[in-house]
Amino acid sequence: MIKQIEYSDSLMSVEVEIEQMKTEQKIERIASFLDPFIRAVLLTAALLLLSSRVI
Amino acid sequence: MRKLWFFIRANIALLWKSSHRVVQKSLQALLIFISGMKPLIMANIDFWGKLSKRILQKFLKSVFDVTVFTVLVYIMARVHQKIDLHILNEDQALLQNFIEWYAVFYTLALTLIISQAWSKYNNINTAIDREADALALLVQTARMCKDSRTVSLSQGLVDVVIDYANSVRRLRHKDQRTEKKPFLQKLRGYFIKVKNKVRSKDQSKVEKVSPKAGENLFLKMKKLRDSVILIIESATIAECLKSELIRQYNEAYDARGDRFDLIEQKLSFHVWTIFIMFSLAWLWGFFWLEFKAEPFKSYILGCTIFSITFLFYLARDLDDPTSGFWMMNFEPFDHKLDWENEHDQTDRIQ
Repeated sequence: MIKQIEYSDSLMSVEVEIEQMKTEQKIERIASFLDPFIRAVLLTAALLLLSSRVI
Repeated sequence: MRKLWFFIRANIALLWKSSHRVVQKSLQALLIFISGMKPLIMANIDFWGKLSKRILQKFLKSVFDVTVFTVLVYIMARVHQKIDLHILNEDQALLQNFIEWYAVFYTLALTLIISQAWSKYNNINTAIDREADALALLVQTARMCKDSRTVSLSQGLVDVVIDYANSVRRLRHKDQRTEKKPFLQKLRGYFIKVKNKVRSKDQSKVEKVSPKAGENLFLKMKKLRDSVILIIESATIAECLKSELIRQYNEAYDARGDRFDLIEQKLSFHVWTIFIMFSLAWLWGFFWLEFKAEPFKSYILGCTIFSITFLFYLARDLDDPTSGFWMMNFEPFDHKLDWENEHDQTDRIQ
């Protein structure tokens, strides 16, 4: 009985860790989805500003 | 202070009354939406906090990248001014032709780069799927060994497979071919070991040395091989089951190796350098074009710069499957087998 409780506890902790990792991956994916847009907008704005001032 | 507050409120009320009805309705709808979303946000405050932090980190990194690139373009623009290259009106048609021709060449090069990165990303996911399939079949084949003398061996094999699969699920994209710890992590490990030796009398203060990312799944794979060998050495199992066990173990091992081989195959630095040079060369043609209307020039330049930048970062994201939006997909490990229920818990009670 004790063995079974220990075993189910370890499985629970593994599942918690897996869920944490999944959440971490989800956060990374959402942030990375926005990343190219942010970069493209920033670079476009910077180069357009540069072209109007310098070129 | 009260007068100031009264003044602000009066002005807001005046603005509100004088604003258009559509604006009023839109603002009301926005307020209702925010108040409706509030419980959802509050329920997952930890998630939203981490997400905001990550977006901010990415934003700061992108500001740095953009600054470096803008400085580079600024230097080029200054050189352009110094050389004082003027294009005659007669050459404008030639320039337009050059931009069109270069666009075809540029698109071909870009397609090759993106398709290469995309096929690599797909191959990695296929390797993960193959590995999960092989492990699931290994468990099923082990369950077929129901002879009383080998049942404990097959249960042992199932346990090892589940342990390995759970470790892969836990590590996901942080899984490494071999245990390669970064220098700082190694240093921290040595420091903790020394500290533990000093504190060894008081066990309650001893710190754990092994961090999760350093977990070596290669050793677990070896353990899996040993379990397969133990079953194969047993004479009571049918030959066809033995050959199936070997085949599935080899398939899983091969798929794992393929995954890391593909991760390590990255587009070389030269390809990225040439890609940036091509982009700049093509873009520079647009700066030389003569436009009668300035907003039209801004529009064309804006669209071109946005597209080039977006595709560049898209290709880079695809090329690195350990991070970014196109990250390796470990869903097959979550779904192919119900790993928890595969354990026959009744065996464990005995």
